[in-house]
Amino acid sequence: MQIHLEVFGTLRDKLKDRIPGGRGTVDVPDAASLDQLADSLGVALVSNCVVMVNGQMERDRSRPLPAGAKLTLIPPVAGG
Amino acid sequence: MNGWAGRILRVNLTTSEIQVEPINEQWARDYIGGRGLAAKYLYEGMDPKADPLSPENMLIFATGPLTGTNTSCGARYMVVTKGALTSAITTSNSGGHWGPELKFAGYDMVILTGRAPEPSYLWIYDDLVEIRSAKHVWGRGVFDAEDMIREEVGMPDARVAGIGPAGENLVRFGCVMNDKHRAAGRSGVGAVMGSKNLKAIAVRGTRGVNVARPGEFLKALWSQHHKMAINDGRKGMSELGTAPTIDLINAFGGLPTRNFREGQFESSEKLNGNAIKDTRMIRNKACFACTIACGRVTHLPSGTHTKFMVNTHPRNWKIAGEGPEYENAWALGAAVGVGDLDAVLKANWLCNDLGMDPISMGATLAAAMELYETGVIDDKKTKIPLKFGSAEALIRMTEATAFREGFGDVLAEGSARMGKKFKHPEVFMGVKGQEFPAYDPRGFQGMGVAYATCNRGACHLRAWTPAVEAFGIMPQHSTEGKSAWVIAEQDKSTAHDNTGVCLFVAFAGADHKDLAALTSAATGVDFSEADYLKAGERTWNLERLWNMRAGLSKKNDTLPDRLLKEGHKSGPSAGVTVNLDAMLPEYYKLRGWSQSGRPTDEKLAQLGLV
Repeated sequence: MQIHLEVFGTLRDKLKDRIPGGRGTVDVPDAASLDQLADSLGVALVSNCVVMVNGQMERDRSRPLPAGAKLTLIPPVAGG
Repeated sequence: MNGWAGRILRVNLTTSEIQVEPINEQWARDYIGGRGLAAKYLYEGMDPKADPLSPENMLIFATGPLTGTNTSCGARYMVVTKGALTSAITTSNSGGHWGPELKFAGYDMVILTGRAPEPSYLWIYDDLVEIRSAKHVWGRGVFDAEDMIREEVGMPDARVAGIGPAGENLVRFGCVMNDKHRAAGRSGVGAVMGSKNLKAIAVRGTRGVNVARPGEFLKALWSQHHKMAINDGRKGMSELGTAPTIDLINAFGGLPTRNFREGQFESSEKLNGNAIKDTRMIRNKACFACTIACGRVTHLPSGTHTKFMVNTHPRNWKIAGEGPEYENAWALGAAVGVGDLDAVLKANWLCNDLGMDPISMGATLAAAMELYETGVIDDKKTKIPLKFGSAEALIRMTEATAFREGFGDVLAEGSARMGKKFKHPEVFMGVKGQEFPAYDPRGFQGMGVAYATCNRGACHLRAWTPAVEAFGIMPQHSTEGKSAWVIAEQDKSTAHDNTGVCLFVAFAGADHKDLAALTSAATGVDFSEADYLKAGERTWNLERLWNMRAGLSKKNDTLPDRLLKEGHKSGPSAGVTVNLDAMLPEYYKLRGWSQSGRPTDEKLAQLGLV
């Protein structure tokens, strides 16, 4: 299945070869979880990374992702 | 003394009287130092009803016991006074190197009163203290003035904190700048300095900071350093600064856009940390003893620096500067609908050189743009179209505001006064006269009660609720538990400010336990975790008492109707309003205050404030 991915911050640099510009579509096995997706991308998602599935926060990283989902990943940020 | 320098410098600018006095040791133990200790001197030393721009206002530059030590980020000094923008007590703090240098000269604080008969600056070189004429630098931008003063005192290593034309012209949100690009930014502390005819304080110190228990201090220090070294938040700030926050806040529908009329900005990615790093950053930069280095040294490419030139003054020819941080990228970007990073860079540098708070500058311009687009004001008043998204309006009005030229004279009063002037007070987006920073409380409910109850007006630095609301610990639109969380954070961050350490260490892996241990080892006074937090709570309540004496009350603990009654039309926070009625009574109750917002006798007795 396909997942539409958008990544921000330091993840954008880490994935610049796989997902230029921070947005792209990736193929993953059906019912893949977030952790499995991260493994396939070769990035470690730290525990306090914000994860949104179709615009809603998702805290369970073992839950199967829905096909065609929009997945947003935002690494820890702070300050202003 | 250890940790504390043990001395205070008092300067009466009216009489030129200069005195050095010992620090009040009991007060230092009660308040730790910095913001809290200065608040105590302000509480005991002036009439809170005094006009903030009158000679009766006190202006205090205060360090903490960890300022100037090698505690990570032990660089901060605070400017404590009655705010020109708010008429409430304010504390604006800044990093760089000025605060440590004041400690090295042997002073915890400089307390200024009165008004100099002519433009002046203060020169401190250890025990030498002089009031010198500043006639030749009056009118100069921060960058030029700092260089000229440093050359005049003949000390290349001297550090300068001062004001630009905005402070001189009593712009209500003029700041105090040091090391050219570091700002004690909010509430108009620079206008207070300008009202005293004081251009700058230059300082050079040759002493160190004594530490009471060096072995214990080093042990606590290495613990702090290690936690920060491995922390992902710290790594993110080192690499991309604070501007990646724009991605997070935008994703949650809490990025105030076009004067809080929307919660997401379509061009946010043109202003984020990646955009700055990839296109305009030369390198990152750290303050004294900092192990984060969130500062950004930025430039405009050769050939494009004249793109936003607004007059022939050489200051506008500069092609490099610092920033923007998240707040500035928002205020000079999303708030006014400008998605042009070069324009934001330029406006940010102008704010630094002219000595203005970019948050209030951008937010006030956003309110003016709303007035313009709704037909309340027109080109006859503004001379140029103040349309949302206009980079030209942003640059021109930033400079005009600092010099109070044309419509800039109106903007210089801030958006609360501007809204009243045009009989549309609803365009003011802020609390206690101070414009909101970059978080819409409709996206983050906790920010609603944090803003409403903040002693210095709308502020994000006392309790930053996205820390729990965006990271899934508390739902963003729920009010449950928010008041309790905000109170705990307000007390923690206040104690933190009292130590003289940058608040960012709390976002980078270290916490109040580290700072309590470091403060104890540095001063030789044992601050348990409870003592440390109580010093924060004591300070918060003292500031509240000061504000009450100034005439503020529960009526000032509120939010604009736009946030209480109007939801966004789209985005993740669509239709949500701030439920302050659910949070404020709980806040008062948990604080130990009456429902009219007054600390109870029992609470004051607990804190030793009776």
